[in-house]
Amino acid sequence: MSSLGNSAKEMFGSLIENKSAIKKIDAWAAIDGLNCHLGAPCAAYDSQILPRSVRRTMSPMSEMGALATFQALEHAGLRSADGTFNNIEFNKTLLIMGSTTGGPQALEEYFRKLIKNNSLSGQPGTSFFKVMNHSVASNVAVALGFNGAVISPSSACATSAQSLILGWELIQSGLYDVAICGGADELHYLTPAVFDVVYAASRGYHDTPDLTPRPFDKRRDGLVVSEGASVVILESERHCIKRGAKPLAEFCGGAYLCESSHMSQSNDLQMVNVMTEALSRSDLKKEDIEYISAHATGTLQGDAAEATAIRTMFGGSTPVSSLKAHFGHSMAACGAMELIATVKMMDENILIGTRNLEDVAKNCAGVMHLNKNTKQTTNIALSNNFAFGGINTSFIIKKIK
Amino acid sequence: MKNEMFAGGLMGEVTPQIIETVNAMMHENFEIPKKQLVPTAHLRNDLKLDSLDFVDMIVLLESKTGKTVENIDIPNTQTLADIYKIAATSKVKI
Repeated sequence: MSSLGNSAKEMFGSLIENKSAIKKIDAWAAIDGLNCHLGAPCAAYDSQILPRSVRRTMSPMSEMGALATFQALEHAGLRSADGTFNNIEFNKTLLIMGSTTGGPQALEEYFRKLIKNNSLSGQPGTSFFKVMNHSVASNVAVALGFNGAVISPSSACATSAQSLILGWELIQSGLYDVAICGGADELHYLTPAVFDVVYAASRGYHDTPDLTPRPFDKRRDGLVVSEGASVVILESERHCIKRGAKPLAEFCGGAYLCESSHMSQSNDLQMVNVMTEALSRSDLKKEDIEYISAHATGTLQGDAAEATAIRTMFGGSTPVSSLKAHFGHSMAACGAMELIATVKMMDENILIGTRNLEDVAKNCAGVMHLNKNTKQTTNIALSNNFAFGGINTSFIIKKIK
Repeated sequence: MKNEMFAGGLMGEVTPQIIETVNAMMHENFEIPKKQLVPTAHLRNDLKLDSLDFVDMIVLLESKTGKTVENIDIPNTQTLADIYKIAATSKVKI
């Protein structure tokens, strides 16, 4: 569920066409002090296919999360269209999904009412289930009728990357066979506001929304937020073989290491460390990496630090691109979203170039930037996702031959 | 917030306006088809509403009628007619 389409096929088709999902959000212009009025809403979807009994406790991010999970499980052959699970044992299955906060639209409504009335009267009983931090994970579990282990990580932009890495770790431990991993976030002006106050949201392209964000570009001026939900099913090799499933790719491994020197500033050294750890956990060498899906959101500082880290580690011969100028930054969803895009790139033998990268900034130079879609066979790719609070993550996937 | 639709009805009297307000709420907020909205409809068995819906129903009822719903006899609130009665007997907020 993304700003560029609500299936992997549709989304990848948009990337091939080099589309931008960035639009002007007129309502945000009315927010005093907010300097970024651009966002990328999810492509239209029909939440009515979810029964009211489940929808009543869902904010949009949970709706998108549930619809993405249905798609992923059905695609994997683990759930039928009628809702029955196939080859799922609850005691061997994880559902790991999170979001940046509880549903921000419902949170705003909840507190506006509370403050206005100075009373709890008028608060529906269903509100809390939209605003609690594990809202997405719980709502998806209820929508699925899932009685296995539910975990709800929350690390903003790194959320779904953490879901994936945690799922991989727990499957590796032998305790679980299947992990349903993902993240979801919905558009709300609070999200660009958080970046805007630290001068990290785009301000200068309101009349030409499709020209921003500009990852690694000289004229980049910040990120643009997006919304969506992305879900990836991880499954042990043993379980795949047992049920005769054909995997889409191998999740080789991943790592998360905290960069604790600063809450918001990126640090290239710690980025190198997390990529190094991801390689080590995947039993791979840096020379094995054939493509890097960069986090690069179009911020001045973050892009420069990531480019420096990639240059330090991989030099200038490994193709690098970022998809943030196509999708916008879908926050909790982006790690899994970019994994799906990377799997499609490997399948279709084409690497998607960084949109809006016209003139590489000096402090982002020295790596092999792809700014055009490029026909290329890729077997092993590394993906970075970094979040405020120093949550650095990196994981590696491999094409199934 | 007072609702003029309730003006003229005696305390406790289920007026057509009350029925109309409650039915509209049931249809719009709980997505129940209008033809199922008959007084004898059982909230749980026929209309498939549960305790969480019940809480929201009372909150909505208060906001739509401007009344305070108090002392509800939950075990004996079973049919749509019981909801009409609650709406009719609640006090107007002061």
